[in-house]
Amino acid sequence: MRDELTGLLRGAPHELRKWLENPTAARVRLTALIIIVGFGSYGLTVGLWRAPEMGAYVAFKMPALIFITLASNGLLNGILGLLLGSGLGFKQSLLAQLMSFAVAAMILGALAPVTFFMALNASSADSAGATAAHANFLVTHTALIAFAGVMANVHLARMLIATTPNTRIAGMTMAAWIGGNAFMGAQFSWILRPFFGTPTIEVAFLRDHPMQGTFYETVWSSLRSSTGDYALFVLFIAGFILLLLHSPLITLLRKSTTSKP
Amino acid sequence: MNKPENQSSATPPPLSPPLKDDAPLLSIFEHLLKHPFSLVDNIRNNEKPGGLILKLSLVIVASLLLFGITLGSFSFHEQLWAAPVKTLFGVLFSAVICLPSLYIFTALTGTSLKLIEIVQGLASALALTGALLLGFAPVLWVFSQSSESQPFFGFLVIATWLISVLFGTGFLMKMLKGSGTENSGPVKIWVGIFLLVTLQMSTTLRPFFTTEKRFFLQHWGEEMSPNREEYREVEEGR
Repeated sequence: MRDELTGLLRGAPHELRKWLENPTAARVRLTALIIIVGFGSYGLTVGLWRAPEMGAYVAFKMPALIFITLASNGLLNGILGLLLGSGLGFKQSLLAQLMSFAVAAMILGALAPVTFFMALNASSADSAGATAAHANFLVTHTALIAFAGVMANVHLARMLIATTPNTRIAGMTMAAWIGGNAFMGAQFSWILRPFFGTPTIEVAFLRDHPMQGTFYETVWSSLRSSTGDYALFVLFIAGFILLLLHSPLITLLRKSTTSKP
Repeated sequence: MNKPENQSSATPPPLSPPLKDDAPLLSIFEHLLKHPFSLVDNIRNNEKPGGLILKLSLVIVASLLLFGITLGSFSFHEQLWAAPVKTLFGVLFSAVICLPSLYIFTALTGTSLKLIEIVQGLASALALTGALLLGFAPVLWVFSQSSESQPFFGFLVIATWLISVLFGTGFLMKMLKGSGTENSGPVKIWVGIFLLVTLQMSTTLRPFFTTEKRFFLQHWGEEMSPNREEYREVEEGR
């Protein structure tokens, strides 16, 4: 098992291909277990600073967020993978995404002792420095989760480049999967909030009326209040930059993947 | 699974298992997704086209009804049954009125496809569209329960519809390629016409009662506008 996990982390094309060419139930179970342990332990440290019960809630909610997102997009991602010509069946596309999330889980799980130490040393949630501590927490965790997310997506791109007919198909499949998962993941994280536990708001598993409102409406109204009539233009520019970044990233990854033995 | 880099367009489609004439529904669905060229081959040599059309119709009806229920769950009440019926009727009616133009536009590509083969191709394209809509249904359901914003939900539904139709009608392009023609321009124009017809149909069958006829761009433009309430007040004041 350790060899398999090391291979997954190393991200060598032949090892990733080996996983996807044989998507056994044992491999699906293993990646699911890693996600539960990795995201669960990291989630515990995220909520722990606010209160121990908040830690327990977030330890449950973080892996749940991944599984709910994958479940809601499973059929769609499977169909899109096939239609875009990736050659990956439903089971393979599910395993590919689980593998990508497992990489993020391993990174975050490995960082959990550090963030645990950080939570223990921060000003407590009922102290005078709580607001500053909460802000620091937000920035640090956002940066760590973003780093894990980038690494996971780099692995997903390598995986797709190694297993799909060409880089164009790999890029399109990756964009479709990431787009769908990010779109739904953001909404589910909105429904499952709170994660960080604002000091002024009471500790709770979910906010009152969690299904009321959407992440996107909130972002749109914030964007409109900060940019006024330019909101649509700002959104368009952000989308355009993302699109511009996508293509060179795939080319770069293809070069790095083909240059390795 | 792995193929050489930079595969040229001249490379023949990959070999795939043949589809039998009496293949079960699940097998047809699997071929539609995984081996479309094998389904094209079956359409061209099928001696019982009625069986294939019937099975594909089942997929179309089931998927459109389920997608319609998801749309209806945004406002509940009578829309729970009205939206699926209208979705199914609207799409099928659009397909029927667009079939003659599909036949003509397909002929313009220079292909030798017969009308019955085009009907089967259209049924396959609609089944594929339905399958994608079914894939989007959980996504839309979450937002139908979370959002009260009709512009936002309307935008999601339109985006979902456009993506699904573009992928679904991709089967028609594969059918053209399978029949030996590389010229798919006229059929691409037909896809645009079909999209316009379905968008107009969504406006004609819109859930709020009105006798006023309206162009779909005006309807959806107003529905997605931040000043939607003002438009509504003007409309009610008439």
